[in-house]
Amino acid sequence: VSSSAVPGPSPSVAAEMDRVDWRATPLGPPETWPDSLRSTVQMLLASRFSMWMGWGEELTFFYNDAYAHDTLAAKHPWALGRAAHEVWAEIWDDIGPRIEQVLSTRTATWDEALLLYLERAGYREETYHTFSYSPLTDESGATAGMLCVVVEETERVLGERRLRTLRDLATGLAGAESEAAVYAAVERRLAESPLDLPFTLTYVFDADGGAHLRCRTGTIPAGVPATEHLEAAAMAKAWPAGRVDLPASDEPGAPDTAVVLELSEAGRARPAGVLVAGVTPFRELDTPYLGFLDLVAGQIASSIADVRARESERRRAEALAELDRAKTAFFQNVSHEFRTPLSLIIGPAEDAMAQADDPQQRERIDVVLRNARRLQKLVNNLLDFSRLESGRAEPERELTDLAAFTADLASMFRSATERAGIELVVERPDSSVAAAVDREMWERIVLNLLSNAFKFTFEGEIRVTVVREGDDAVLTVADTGTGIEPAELERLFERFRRVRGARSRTHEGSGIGLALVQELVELHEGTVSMTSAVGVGSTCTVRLPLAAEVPEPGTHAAPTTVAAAYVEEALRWLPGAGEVAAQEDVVTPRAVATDVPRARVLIADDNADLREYLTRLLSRIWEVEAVGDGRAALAAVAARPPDLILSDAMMPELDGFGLLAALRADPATAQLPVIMLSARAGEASAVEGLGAGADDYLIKPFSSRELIARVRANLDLAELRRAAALATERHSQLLRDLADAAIAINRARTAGEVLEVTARRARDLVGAAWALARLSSGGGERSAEAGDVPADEGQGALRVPLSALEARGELVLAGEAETRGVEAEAMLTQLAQVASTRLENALLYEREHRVAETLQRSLLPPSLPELATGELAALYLPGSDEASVGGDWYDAFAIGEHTIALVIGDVVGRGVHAASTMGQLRNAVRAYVHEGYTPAQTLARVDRLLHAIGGGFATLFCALADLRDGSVRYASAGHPPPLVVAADGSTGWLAGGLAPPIGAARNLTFHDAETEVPGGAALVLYTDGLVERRGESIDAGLERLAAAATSSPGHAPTLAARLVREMPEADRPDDVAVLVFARHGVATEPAVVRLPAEPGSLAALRDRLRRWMGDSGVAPGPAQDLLLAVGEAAANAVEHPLEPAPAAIVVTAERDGRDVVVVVRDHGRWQAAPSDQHRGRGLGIMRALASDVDVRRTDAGTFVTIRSQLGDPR
Amino acid sequence: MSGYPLPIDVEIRDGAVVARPAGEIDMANAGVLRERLHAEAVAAGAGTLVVDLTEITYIDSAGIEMLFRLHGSLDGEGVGLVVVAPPGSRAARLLSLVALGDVAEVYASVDAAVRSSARRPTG
Repeated sequence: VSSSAVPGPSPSVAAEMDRVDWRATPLGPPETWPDSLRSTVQMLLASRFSMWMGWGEELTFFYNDAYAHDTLAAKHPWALGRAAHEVWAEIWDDIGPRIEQVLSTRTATWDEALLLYLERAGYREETYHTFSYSPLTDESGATAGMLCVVVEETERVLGERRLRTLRDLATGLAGAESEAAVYAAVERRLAESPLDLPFTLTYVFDADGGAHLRCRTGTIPAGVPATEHLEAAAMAKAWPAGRVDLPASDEPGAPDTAVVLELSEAGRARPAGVLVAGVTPFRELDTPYLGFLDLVAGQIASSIADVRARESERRRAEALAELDRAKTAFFQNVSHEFRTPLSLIIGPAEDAMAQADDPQQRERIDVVLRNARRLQKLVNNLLDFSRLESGRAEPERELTDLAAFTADLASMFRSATERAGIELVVERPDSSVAAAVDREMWERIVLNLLSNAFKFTFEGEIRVTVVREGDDAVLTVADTGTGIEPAELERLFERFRRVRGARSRTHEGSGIGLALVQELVELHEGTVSMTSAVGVGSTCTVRLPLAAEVPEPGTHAAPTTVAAAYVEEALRWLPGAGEVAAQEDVVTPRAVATDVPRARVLIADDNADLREYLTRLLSRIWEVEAVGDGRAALAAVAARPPDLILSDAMMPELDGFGLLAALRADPATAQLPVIMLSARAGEASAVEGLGAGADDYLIKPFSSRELIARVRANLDLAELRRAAALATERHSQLLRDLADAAIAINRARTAGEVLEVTARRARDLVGAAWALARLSSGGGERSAEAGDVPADEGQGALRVPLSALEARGELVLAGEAETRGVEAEAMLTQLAQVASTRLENALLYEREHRVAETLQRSLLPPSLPELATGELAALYLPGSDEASVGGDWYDAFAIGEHTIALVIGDVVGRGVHAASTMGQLRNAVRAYVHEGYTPAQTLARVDRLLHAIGGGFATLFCALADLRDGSVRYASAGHPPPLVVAADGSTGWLAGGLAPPIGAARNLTFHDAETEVPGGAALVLYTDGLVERRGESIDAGLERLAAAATSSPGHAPTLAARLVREMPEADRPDDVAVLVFARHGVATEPAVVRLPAEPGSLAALRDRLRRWMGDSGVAPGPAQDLLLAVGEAAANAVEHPLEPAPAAIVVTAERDGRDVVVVVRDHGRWQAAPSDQHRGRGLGIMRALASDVDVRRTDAGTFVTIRSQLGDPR
Repeated sequence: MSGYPLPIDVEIRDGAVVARPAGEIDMANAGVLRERLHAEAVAAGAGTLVVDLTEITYIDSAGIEMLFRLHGSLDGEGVGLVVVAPPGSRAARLLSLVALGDVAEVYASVDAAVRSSARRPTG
C-alpha cells in the first residue's frame, strides 16, 4: 500500500469537472444536481483516499485525484462523466455483479487484492485492487449510486508473488545434488509461475560453445524456436542477450517479448548458459520485473556453479581421505620401522654404559642414550596414537598392584621435583590396590599426569594418591600449580588440546597427553576427570574397576624405559637444562563489555588443532563453540542456534556443503550466516562456496585479522538482515491488521460507531495502552475511547488528524505507542484516512434529515414582501425529532399593487419526500394565484395536482388580502383556523371556507369566505405544530393560542415571536410555521420636524412626511397632494419671514379622526404685502389642495394649519 | 438633494430641443434648472424648447415660477417654450391648479409638443 505517496489535493480532476459537458450525461448540468450528489462529489474530490463513485441510472463516473493517479492513469480525464460500465468495460464482468449487489441489497462489499485486467496504459494490464463498494442514497433515501474506496495493491501482490517464486526456486535448488537435479528443480519451480514466466528456456553451454536445452516451462508460443541443441553461432543468433521480440502470435495472452539472461556467476569469465524468459503481455517490462528475471537467472547460475563446485569438492575430498588413510598407514609403518632400530641402539648403548669406565666415553654414550630414548618416546606416542585412531589398540591386562606400581612410577619423578624445589608426596594404603591393567598403558597414564602436573607447578607440591573407593581403584594427581580456567577445563581431554596462556614450564607438547590418558583410561572401562582452580592448583582423578583377586607378591610391576624418557624430558624443562622455552604468544585480554550478550560463533572443523586455534582466536571477542563435523554442527545448531557458523569445507560425516544445504533447507536456519573455510586456493573456490549459499569464504591459510574482520562483518550483516526481515514481517503484519481494521471500520454505520471502532482498532494496531477518537462537527463534539484514557491525554500522546466533510477530529494514542516502530504512525495515518472516509459516509447518512430540512428551508420564501400599509413576519422551527423533517411551509407574495397572497400548509409525512411534495405544492399555489384564481379555485386545482403527482395528504390555507381596505378572501383545506388579533387585543378565528385537507378524497369542493382585517389588527396563520401537544385536544391548544395574543398586536415579528414563545415547547412533536400579517393602525404619535429655515430643508421635510403618512395609513394619492400643500407652506416659511429670523421652521403632523392636520410654523412675520405673484400662487395651491388652510400671524411667528380629509384610517 | 442640479436628458427633434429633467423641483434647485434649460436651448440654436416634466416626482410653485422666468429669458432669444405634462403626473396635477396662461403651451406628450412647435413659425 502506498497511500502515503498519494499526491495532495491537485486541481486536476476538479478542473476537468468544468470541462465535462454534463448536459450530455443523464445527470444534466451541475446546477440541477441534487444536494446529495453535489455533496458526495465534493466529499469525493476533497478526499485524498483513492475513490470513485457512480451516480444515477448509468452510474455516471466520478473520481478523485488519487484515483486518477493510482488507477485510471491514461483513462483520466476521459473517464469523467462517462457511464461506469463504459469506463470499466474490460472488467465489468467482474465488478458489475458486485455493484448490482450493492445497489440492490444496499450492503457494502469488500474485495481484497482482486485480480483485474485493466486497460489503462494502452494494454491489458494485470492489476490487483483491494476495494469496497458502498451504496449512496439521495434525498429521498433511495439508492442513487455507489461509492468505491480502493487501494491498488498490484505492486505488493506482484512483489510477494515474485519473492515466493524466488524462495521456492531457492528451496528447490538447495537440495539439488547434481546438475540434473538442478535442471529438474528449475523446470518444476519455474513452471509454477506462469504469470511472471509465461515460458522459459534454459540453455546450458557445452565446452565448445554450443548449447543444450536443459529446461523448458510454460507454453512456448508458436514460432519460437526451442531447439534441443544449438551450435555456438546459431545460439548467438537465436538468443542474443537482452530483449528479443518474438514472432507475432494470434493466441490471446501470448508473450511478444522475451528476455535472454546469461547464467553467469561473478568471477567467471564465461556464463554457464542462458535463460530465455517470456515476458507476460499483461505487465510492463519494468525495473522490478527485470530485476526479478535477473534474480531467477542468478539463482539458476549459482546453483549450477554450486553443484559443479560441490562435485569437484567431493572428488577432492575423496582424494584427500585416501591420502589421509595412506598417511596413517605410512606413519604406522614408519613408526614400526623406527622402533626396531631404536631398540637396537638403546640396548647396546645401555650395555656399553654399564661397562664404560672412561668418563668421556660415558658422556658420549649418555648423549646417545638420551636422544635415542627421546626419539623412542616420540615414536611410541605416534604409534599409540595411530593405533588408537585406527581402533586397533587392545590392552594386554595383567593383575597389578596399582598402589605399588604407581608409587614406583611417581618416585622416578623425584629427582625432577627435587631439582625444581617442589615436594612430591606419594600416598598409598598399606594393602594392595589391585586392578587388571595393561601395565605399559598405566605407566603412560601416570607418567602423563605427573608430567602435566610438573609442567604447570612452580612451587608447593605434587601429591599422588592411590586408594580404594568402593569397587574402584582411584588415582589422584593433585598439584598446587597455575590451575586451569573453568572454560578450558571441560575441554581439557580433547585431542590436541593444550592449555594456553597459563604459566607453564614449556609450550612444547603435542596436546595429546591428556587426550591419550582419557583414551587409555576408557580402554580400561575407567573414567578420568579434572578439577581445578586458577592459582590454587589442579587435581586429576582416574577411576578404574578393582580386580577381585589380589596379585601374587612376586608379580610386582616395574617401570619401563618409557618412564625414564618422561623424567628425562621433564628435567629438560627446568631452567639451565639447555633448552629455552619459546615465548608463547600472549593472548589479548578480553576487552568486551560483559553486560552485552556476546554473539555466538559455532566452529565446525575436523582438525582439532585448527579448531582449537580458531576457538582461542575468536573467543577473545565472541562466545565460541567448536565441533568436529557437519553433523555435530547441525546438532549444536539445533540445541542452541549460534549467530554465525565457521565451517570447514571438508569434514567427515557431513561436509561443509552438506551442512550448508541442510541449514538453508530449514527455514529456521536459512538466514544463518555461514563462513566456509577451504584449503583450496584460488578465486574459483570462493565463487563456488558463495554459490553454494555460504555468506563468505576464506581460503587457508588466512590471517587472524582477516578472519576476525570477516566474522565481524558477517555478524553485522546478519544483524541488519534480521532487523530488516523483522521490519518487513512487522510491516506486512501491520498491513494485515490495517486491512482488518479497515473492514471493521467500514462496517460501522454511525459516526459514533466509526469513532468507537477506530479507537479500538488503532489501539490494537500499534499496541498502545489507550486510544481516543474524536470528531467536532456543527459545534458539537463526539468521541470514543478504547482503554483507560488518562485525564492529561495530551502528555506525549501520538496524534493523527481525522476529517470528514467539514468536520475535524483526531485520533489520539498513548505516547508510548511506539511498539511497532515508525510504520505505526504511517499505519495510523492510513487508518485515519479509512476512518475519515467512513465518517464522511456516516455523517452524510446522519445528515440526510438535515438535507431535507435545508431543502424545506430553501423552499420557504427567503424574504417577505415589504408593505406600505402593513407588515409581514414569519417563523419556522424544525421539529424536535431530529431524525425527520416535517412538510410545513408558508408563503407570502404580492399580486399586483394592492393584494397580497398569504399561504400556509402542512404536508403530512416526513423527510425528503414530504419536503419535495411541499415544494411542488408551493409552486402550484403561486402559479394558480397569479393566474387570478380565488383561494377556493386554487385549492381545488392544487388538490387535483396532488392526486396527479402520486397522492399524499396536506392541509392548506390560502388568503388574498386587499392592502387598501383590509378585506380578505380565503379558503382552507383542513387547516387549523387562522387567528385575527384586533388592535385592542381581542381575538377571533377565521372559521369559514373550510374543506377537507387536499388529497383526502376525490373531487373535493372548496368555498371562498370573506372577512376584514382592520387597521391595527393582525392575521396569524400557523401550522398545527404550534397548537398541537401530546395528550391534549386541539381545542385546548387553540384556547392557549388565543390567550397568548391578549394584547395589541404591535409589530408583526414581535407578535410571531410572542406566540411561539408562549406556547409550551415540551412535547412539540412537529415542526412549526407561523406567518403574521399585521395592518398599520392609526399612527398614535404625531410627527414633529424641526428644520433650518433654508431651501435645502424642503426635500428632507418631504421625506419625513412621506414616511409618517405611510405609517399613518394615508393613501398615496392624497398623500402627494398633502405633501404639495405642506411644501408650499414650508417654502413660504423659508422664504418670507423678515425678522427676527431664527433660522428654523417647525412642522407638526397628526391624525385627527379622518383628517390629517399639519402645522407649519416659522418664527418671524411674513411681509405685510406680497411683492410678487409667487406667494399668492403658493397659498392658492394650498387652499385648492386642503380642505382647510388657516394662516395665523402672531408675535411669536406665523402658523399655517393645513387640514386634509383623507377618509377612514385603516 | 433638491439643492443639486437635476439630471437632464436633451435631444433635438424636428428643430426643437427636448429637455427632460428627472426628480423633484422646489425652490432649492429651480434657479439652477432654469439656467441650464436656457443654456441648452440657446446652444442648440433651436426655435423651440420643449421641457418634458414626465420624470418629475415633485414640483411646486417654485417650479411654476421657474417656467415663467424661463419663458421671459427665452423670449429675448426668440425661442418658444412648450411644456409636456402627461395626465396623472405631478406636473399635470399642479398645472391643473395653476394656469401657465400665455407663457407656454402644455401638451400631454413630447410627440404632440414637437408636432405643434414644428407648425410654429420661427423668428
